Amino acid sequence: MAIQEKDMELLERYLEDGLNADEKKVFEVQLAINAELKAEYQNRIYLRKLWLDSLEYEETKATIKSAITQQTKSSKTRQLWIAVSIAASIIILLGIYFLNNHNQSIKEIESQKQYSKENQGFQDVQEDQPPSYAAIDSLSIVKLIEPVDQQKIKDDSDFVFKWSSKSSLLDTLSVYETRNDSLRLQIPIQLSDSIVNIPASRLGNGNYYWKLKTSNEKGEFIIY
Amino acid sequence: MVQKTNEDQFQLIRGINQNDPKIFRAIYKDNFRKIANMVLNFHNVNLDAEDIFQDGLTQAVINVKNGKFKGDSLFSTYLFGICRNICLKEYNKQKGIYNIPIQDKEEEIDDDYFDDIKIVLELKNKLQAECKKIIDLRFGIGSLEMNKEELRFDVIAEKMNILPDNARQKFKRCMSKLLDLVKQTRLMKNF
Repeated sequence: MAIQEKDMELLERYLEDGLNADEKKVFEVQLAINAELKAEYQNRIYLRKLWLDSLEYEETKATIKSAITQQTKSSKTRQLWIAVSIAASIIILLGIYFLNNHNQSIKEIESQKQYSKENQGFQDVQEDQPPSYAAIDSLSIVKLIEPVDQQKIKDDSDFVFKWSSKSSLLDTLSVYETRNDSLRLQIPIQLSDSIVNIPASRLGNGNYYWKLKTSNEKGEFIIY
Repeated sequence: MVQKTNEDQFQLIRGINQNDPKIFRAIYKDNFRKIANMVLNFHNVNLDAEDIFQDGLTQAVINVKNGKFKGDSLFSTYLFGICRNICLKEYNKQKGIYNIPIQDKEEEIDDDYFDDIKIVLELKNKLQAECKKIIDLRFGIGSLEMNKEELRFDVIAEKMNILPDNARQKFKRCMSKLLDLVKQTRLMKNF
């Protein structure tokens, strides 16, 4: 038997318990004998069950997803923090290492300068070379060879500054007038060179002394 | 919390029934990797391990709550079986193979019903908001007596601020649309 529209209306009223006792009896007889109506009734019941259970499915899945996502986020956040902490620790350790090295160099330079001041009474001269180069090797022995001991040099010739050193670091050769300690000449040198030539006319006649930054010695000479 | 004893299983089931998020996280931690590896074994198909795990766990949790999981096997074994069946069904679907029965031998996993639930979820998204609302009300969602009886049309009418006859007609139209959509799907066996 085909399902009529009124059968469907009755079905809905039956489901909401909207039929009186007689109507209900009649409808239940129809359900028993009309296979199509029965199928429609069962589909309607099944669909309602699915509709309600799908709500529970959605809510359960959302709860699970929220719990898992929280775990995944926490894990990733934790891993990120660990990586950042390790990187920061490495940077800090490197910083401490280099800072320590730099401070050590400065201390050696200061110590050298203080020693020079106390023992020779020299004026401080502004120098261009970075102190760390000479300061690292400040303990190397540098000996001035020539000109020393009031050596006399004619003003029409070149003359040489000679020294001996085992170091190959950079240094500065400075020449001062003896009478007033004024700086007359500064030449950047490498200690391993051991010798540098200059024309005597660069300085003019007078009494001079020369020194190297890394040495306590001074070599005195006269240009005439 | 790897299951080693009956006590562990008991704690697990209790946590599931209480919707304890710590239990769900523990289940994820103990089982996801194994299930993800299983998913990887399905080649040339588009399967997402996270989705499959979440669907599988959802089904397992619902079955625990409604008493369908009898505890004959470990929960982790049960969960793995469900996820494997989901993969098999999805694999068959993507390959165009239908109606091949998949049965787990250890503990019966009746997941055909969940297939129908997922279809209804998809169909809900295809309905207009107003249809979804009236069907929700008629089926009892949002009423104090949910799951016990259908909501009468005069009550629905009051909630929607329309006449009872209008509510009845609207519901009739929406149900007709829903049934048409249902009949277009090939996997709902009862229709």
